[in-house]
Amino acid sequence: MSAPGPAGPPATINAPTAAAAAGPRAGAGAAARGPAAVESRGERAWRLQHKLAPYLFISPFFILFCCFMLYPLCRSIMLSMYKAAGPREMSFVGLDNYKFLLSHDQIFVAAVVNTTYFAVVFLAVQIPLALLLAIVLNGPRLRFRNFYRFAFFSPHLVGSVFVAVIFGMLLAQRHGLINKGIGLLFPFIGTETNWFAKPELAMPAVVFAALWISLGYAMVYFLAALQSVDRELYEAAEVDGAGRFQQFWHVTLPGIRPVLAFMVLVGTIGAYQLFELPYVLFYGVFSNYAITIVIYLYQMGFEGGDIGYASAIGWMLVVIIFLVSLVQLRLTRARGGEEAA
Amino acid sequence: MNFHLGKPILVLLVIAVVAGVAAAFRPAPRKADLTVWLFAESHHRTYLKLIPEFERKHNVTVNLSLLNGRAVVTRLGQMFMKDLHDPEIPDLVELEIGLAGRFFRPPVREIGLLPLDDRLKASGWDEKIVKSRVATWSKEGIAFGMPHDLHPCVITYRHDLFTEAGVDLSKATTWPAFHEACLKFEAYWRSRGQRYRHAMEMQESSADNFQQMLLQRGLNPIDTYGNVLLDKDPRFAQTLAFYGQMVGGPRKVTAQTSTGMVAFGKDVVEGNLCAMMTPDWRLTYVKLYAAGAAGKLRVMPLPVFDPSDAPTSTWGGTMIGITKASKRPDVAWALVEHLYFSEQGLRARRESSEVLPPIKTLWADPYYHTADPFFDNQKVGTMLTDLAGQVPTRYVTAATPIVNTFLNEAVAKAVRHADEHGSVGLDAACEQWMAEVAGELRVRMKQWKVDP
Repeated sequence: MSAPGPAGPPATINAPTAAAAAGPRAGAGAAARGPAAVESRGERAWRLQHKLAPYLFISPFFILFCCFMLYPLCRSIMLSMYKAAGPREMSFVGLDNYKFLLSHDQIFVAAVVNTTYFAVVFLAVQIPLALLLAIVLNGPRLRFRNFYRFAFFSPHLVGSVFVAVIFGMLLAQRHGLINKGIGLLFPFIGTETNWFAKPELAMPAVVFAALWISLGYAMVYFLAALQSVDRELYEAAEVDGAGRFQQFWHVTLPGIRPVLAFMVLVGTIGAYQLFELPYVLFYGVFSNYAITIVIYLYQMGFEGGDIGYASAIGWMLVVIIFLVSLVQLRLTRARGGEEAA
Repeated sequence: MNFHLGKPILVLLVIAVVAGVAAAFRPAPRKADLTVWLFAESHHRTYLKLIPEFERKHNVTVNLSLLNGRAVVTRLGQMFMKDLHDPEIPDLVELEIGLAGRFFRPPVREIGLLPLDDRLKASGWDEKIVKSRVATWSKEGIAFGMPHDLHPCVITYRHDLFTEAGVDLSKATTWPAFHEACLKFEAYWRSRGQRYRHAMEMQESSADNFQQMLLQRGLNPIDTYGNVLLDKDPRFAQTLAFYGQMVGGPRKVTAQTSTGMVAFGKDVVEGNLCAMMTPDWRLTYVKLYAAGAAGKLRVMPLPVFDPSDAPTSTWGGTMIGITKASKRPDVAWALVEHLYFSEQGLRARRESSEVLPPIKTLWADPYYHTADPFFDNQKVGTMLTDLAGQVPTRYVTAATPIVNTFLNEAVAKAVRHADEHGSVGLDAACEQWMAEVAGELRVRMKQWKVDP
């Protein structure tokens, strides 16, 4: 076997790696026969296996991806250009579904506004709160730290539907704990606040429930990020006379920036896909002030049977998420670039 | 044994192989002669008692599958999209009124359910069934489903609390008189410090109760041909304006119950909600969850706006349809008759609910004409059977969910207007909203229309 060297051909460079991967037996055999030896059938099989093995290992993913992601995606693009009501009732309408969606559909506009409102308010509250929690729980002097970590994370384990049911009860008129609390603290408001019937309260109620589920989840990410910030940077900042806030601003924030950007991105995508929480909270009854994009998609596709139009809504959602994510990434990179400069 | 990828991978591989082999060689369950998809647990329980006799009589096997209502609609919708004669499609399926509309979206020849008019006529049931209810499950005059129920509505009220307030609610036979009686009731209880005692339960953000009022007046937002009617009759806007004033503003007499029957029952027992629209199915829940109010409740027909209006309405509903994929449509029809129209079916149904069957001849059963101590010894069944024949026609179309969204919005706007401006300008605003909704719906119907 040739020794790897900078001047050797790629095959020669790769040889030791392949032999090592094949195991000690194969390596010893090849060395014993020398480079000029004629390749036996077994060796050819080994070589073929080395060539094919990577493809074989990734093939389950690719097969499943093609069957359950790629094909449905392509099919939904096609469907979005059809009016569909049955196996024999498919008529090609080109971009008509998209045209109608963007030019005539007031409910879609309301759904986009509501979902964007949710995304903005949710992220504006979730990210700082989760970061604050993480910083508090990362403090060296805090007792029962693991208990608190688990307590804050545990709502994420129960799932959206369960949380929606709980919040439906908590926010119930007259009997719900939250309304009872409001009645106790503010008797002039009373216990009959109807969270789900007032346009100005409906989305805040959903945000409230969503925060309860996701705060601990975001906190865990931030905790991990905080623990990876180099302690020496804090010591250096302290030597330079930086206070607590300056340390946070100039050391912590830049240190956790990648995780922060990731959380904002993932949070935005999740927020635009909002479905179960409002669907259960509002008991399937929606006005323009509470409907979200995915709920509208569900209404059109699964309740109204207009699969083509529902596909068009789905693809508009993809475009919206893509554009919002792109803007976020650009902003994050621009800020990163500025600081680096 | 030494496996070069490690023990965990080996264990996973062994499990995968064993599970795969077991799954591959597991004998498939024998397909029954008839498969029925159901979504209501109470129906499933009832039918289980009726199936053995049917199987003996017709020498067939029947499989009742209880599924989630939305799962039924999603799966069946997918199957119909693929092939109307797919062998996996069940023979019969029960559909809930709020979710059935999508199956009426294709042109009539492409609907996945069999037309049932001929069978209804040939069997003679068309003379005995409430026809307005068959129309609910029809498209363009062709029936694709048989009604499980009628769900006539009455008003259930706390007789003791209204009497204490000096109000005889049963004398309010028109909605304006009813509203005045409720105002008097509220004034009495407010003066006694009862802040949370409300005369009537009505929805502030949902158009359910508003639509029940419309149906009383024979008004459907969309007809069976998909024509939008909201701006064709001024009574749509008038009813909305009236509803807005009952539910919002200075003349508000209503409150909304929270989700869940436990909260509803508590509200009834504590006297927070003292009257409510009650279809027959809800009577069962009232008895179950508001047991503490036994003997204090009475029922009355719905008030009307005009003498020509029906003193009842309808809320909810279920149909059963035979799919085009069914290999034995005659036996499937016999099963429909057995479960829905027979006396055995009626007896089994009564064990779990108060729901009235759609066959008029079955209403003569003495069960329906006995005094009910829960309702202050009123003959509630007699009242329901008297009203059942007048249940208004309600159409179900694929556009129903979106119509509901628009009407929910209109109700929310009317309530908000009443809260902010009272009745000033409400009539004109309601007319404008109805015209806007009608215009929007017409554009949509044109966009959706798949019929040639």
